Amino acid sequence: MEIDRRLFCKLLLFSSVSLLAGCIRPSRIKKSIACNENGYPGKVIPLDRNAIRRIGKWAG
Amino acid sequence: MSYTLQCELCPKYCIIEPGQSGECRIRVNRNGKLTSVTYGYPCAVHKDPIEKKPVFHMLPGSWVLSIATVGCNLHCKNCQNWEISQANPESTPAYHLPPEAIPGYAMENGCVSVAYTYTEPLVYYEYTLESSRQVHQADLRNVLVTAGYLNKEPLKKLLPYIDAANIDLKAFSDSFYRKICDATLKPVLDTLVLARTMGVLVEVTNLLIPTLNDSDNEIQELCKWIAGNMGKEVPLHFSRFFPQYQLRNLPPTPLSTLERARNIALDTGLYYVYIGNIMTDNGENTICHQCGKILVQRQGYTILAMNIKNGRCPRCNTEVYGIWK
Repeated sequence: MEIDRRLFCKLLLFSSVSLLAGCIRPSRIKKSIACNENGYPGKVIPLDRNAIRRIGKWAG
Repeated sequence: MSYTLQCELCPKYCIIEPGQSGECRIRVNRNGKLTSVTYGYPCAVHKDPIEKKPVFHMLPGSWVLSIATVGCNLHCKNCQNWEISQANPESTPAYHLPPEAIPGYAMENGCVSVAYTYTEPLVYYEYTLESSRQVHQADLRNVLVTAGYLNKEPLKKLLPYIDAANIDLKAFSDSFYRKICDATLKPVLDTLVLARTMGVLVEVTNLLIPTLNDSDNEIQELCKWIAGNMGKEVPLHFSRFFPQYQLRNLPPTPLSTLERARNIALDTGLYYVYIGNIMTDNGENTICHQCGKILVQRQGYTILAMNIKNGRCPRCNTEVYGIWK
């Protein structure tokens, strides 16, 4: 059976790249505990003396 | 470069892709930087009696400024505060209350301590840590109400600032933690021991859920473990379950179950055992384990009598575990 050299090279290159990507990926995981950066993604509402509720509705 | 990050805060060790959060919903990978997005943004700020935490052995009858941001690393099917613990910050309005403003806000409102509570204060770890530093500098006290699911290293940094903690021991079986809470038992036990050995006033809460964690055997094992590994003086609260969130198919815990659990705990030798989330005649009273005198008489969140003198029983002079002034 004849092998298409160009196709073979392409397949070889593709699998090498995939293999390399697979190997590199875990090293891109950084271990971390979070830093403090302000920027709350939700709505921010004003906190004044009236905001505090005496005996909260939540358990605990 | 946008890195995939692994959070090392809790035993879940979430691997977080850029733009995503960990299981707790609040620790977000922002451009390769792990960010605690609720830092300084509590969604709940309330003035509570300390009995509500429940913490019975620190300054009875005092007020505690109670704060929480959204987020939790557990996903208990019976969560009572699931509307904030299982919520996304994007969809939950919050106040801006930076750590340095907390002591002043507490004092303005007549609070002698600050509690990190309602959701899971250990996932908004940086906010809890910095706030508790500020609170100590102002000569106020810190209270932690937690499920205790955190790695040892961050916990060791935080605990020197914590005066009292109510730590949930939700069951004494790993399968319960896995099935009901999406967690495991061992890290919680480690937290309980570490907090105790680092000098934190620890109280334990065990919420009894019918058929899931209320067998005599499990209660007995739990009590024996507390007595053997933490000390008989550690207060234990048996709390009543109400059908909530994803466990609405079960009935509320009967009073008889709570009383049975209390009897088992007292038979095991624990000194201070309480029944909570239900009105009883004497389930919330602190009683001297030596002579039986009522030391603190409670009804709901009200203190009817406070008989402890200089941290001791006025009748037999036995020392009472706690912070009393």
